[in-house]
Amino acid sequence: MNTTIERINALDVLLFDVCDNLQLTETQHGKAEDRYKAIARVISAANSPFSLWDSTVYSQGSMRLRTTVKPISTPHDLDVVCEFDVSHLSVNPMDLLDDMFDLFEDHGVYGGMVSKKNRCIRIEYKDEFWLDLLPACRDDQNGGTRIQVPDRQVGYWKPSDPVAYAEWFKKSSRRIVVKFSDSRREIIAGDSELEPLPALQATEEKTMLQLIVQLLKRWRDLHYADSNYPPISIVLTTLAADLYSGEQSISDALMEVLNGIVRRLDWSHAQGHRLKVPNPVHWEEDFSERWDSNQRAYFAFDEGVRNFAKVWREICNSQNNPASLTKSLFGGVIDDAVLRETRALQQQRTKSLLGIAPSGQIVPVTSAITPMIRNTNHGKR
Amino acid sequence: MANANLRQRRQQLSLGQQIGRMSSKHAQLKLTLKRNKVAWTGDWWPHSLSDTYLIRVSYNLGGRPQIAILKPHLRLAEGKTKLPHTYTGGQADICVHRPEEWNPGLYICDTIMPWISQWLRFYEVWQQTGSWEGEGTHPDKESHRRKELAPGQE
Repeated sequence: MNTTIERINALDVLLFDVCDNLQLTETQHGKAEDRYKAIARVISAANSPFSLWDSTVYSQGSMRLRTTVKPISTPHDLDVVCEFDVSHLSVNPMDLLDDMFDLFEDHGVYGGMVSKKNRCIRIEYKDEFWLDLLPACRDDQNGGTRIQVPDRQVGYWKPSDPVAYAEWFKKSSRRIVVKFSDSRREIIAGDSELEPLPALQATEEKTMLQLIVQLLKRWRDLHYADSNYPPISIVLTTLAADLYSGEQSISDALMEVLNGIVRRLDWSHAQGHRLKVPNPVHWEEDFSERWDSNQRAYFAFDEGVRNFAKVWREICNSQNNPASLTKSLFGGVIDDAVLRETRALQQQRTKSLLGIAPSGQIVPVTSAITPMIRNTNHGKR
Repeated sequence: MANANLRQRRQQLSLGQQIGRMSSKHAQLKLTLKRNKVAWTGDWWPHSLSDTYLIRVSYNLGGRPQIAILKPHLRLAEGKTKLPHTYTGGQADICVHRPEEWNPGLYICDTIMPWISQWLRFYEVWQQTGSWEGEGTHPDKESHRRKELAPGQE
């Protein structure tokens, strides 16, 4: 039995459980959709200042990419775009933001739940999440799916293209889909164009890239919890999607992405400048521009991601219990994943599906030299 | 049913039989033999995400196999004061089965050794989370205590 492959497989299952625990549940996702549909109705209602404009409301960011990660101490933060079918050149951007704020602040349901942000208004619900609503207008100059959104800091419009970005992200996933068989506790990676095996149809499906982005974001939330300038999600997401090349193991894919970021940092520094993360669908935009005005944040990212790569390499290559190291990277969510995995192990044991290898390693009974018969641990708990 | 049959009291196995089967499956365990007593010592890696442990299984013919975790020192879970599922010797004498679940007619290799793997994995998870996820019983029940005080007499 190849112990390295066995360990990587076990780490993959652990990481999958971590991601599963971090994302929006189907119920939460449904509730979020209901809420932004309700928002759309408010915007298009007869008494709305926008009632004469056609509008489309759609998700962007992590909700669109399905890479949501439950923040450590705050609710889920979901981004919703309200795109008006009107040229930005005929609209004052600051008036658009203020009118949107007033519409919801004066509304019987949303009054008191709304606050102003740089490019959006935030609606804070009392339960699991808040919604950031970005008003946007059609970009006739550039066309396509491109939009323009108001930006308070610059007092003008900023270009954006969440639809094109999401398409790029989807293509970057190389269509490697992770299917998880709960009964067999194993990860199956495959091409999404293939029909799933009937037995696996009910299992969770995500692309490998979505899982990697979730892990990077979780690490960010923990590692930079006390920092005012953590690396932003779009930077981590873009780097991961750009560097991922189709690895079919979560652990290996994470290592590939981390090594790739470190290599890009080294290359950039050798060229005498910082790492740049351009928008892949509009190259003139630098997602990482805020590092220009905050070198300390850049150095913190540089140091943090190098350490992440080092620790993850150690976890993958050692034959030690990775509990404390994985916890240092992803926090208490690791404990939940370990418990879930152990309960599944216990279920397999009660069904006589386990045995051991010569080394003592617990393995499926089909590859064991000794099957494990039932027993009862005796003694004080 | 297979498990139940396996547990039925059979004729006591000889030390030779126990030794032969153990060495055929776990060659990494070093054997020490003294008259009617045998001990196997060596590395044990219970799970893909586990530490490697140095263990010793000692067996007096007809008695209860005694399992010691020699290295590393087992740590307690946060807020706990005692290792669970051990005899009074702590990690020098862990308890992996109820008295009626093992008898000298069973191969140590086929019963005790897989149970050690399982005990160690459950210990690791307990140490990390404070929750023992394996099945277990409480020795303060009179029936258990009596049997526990007389190991090898069942």
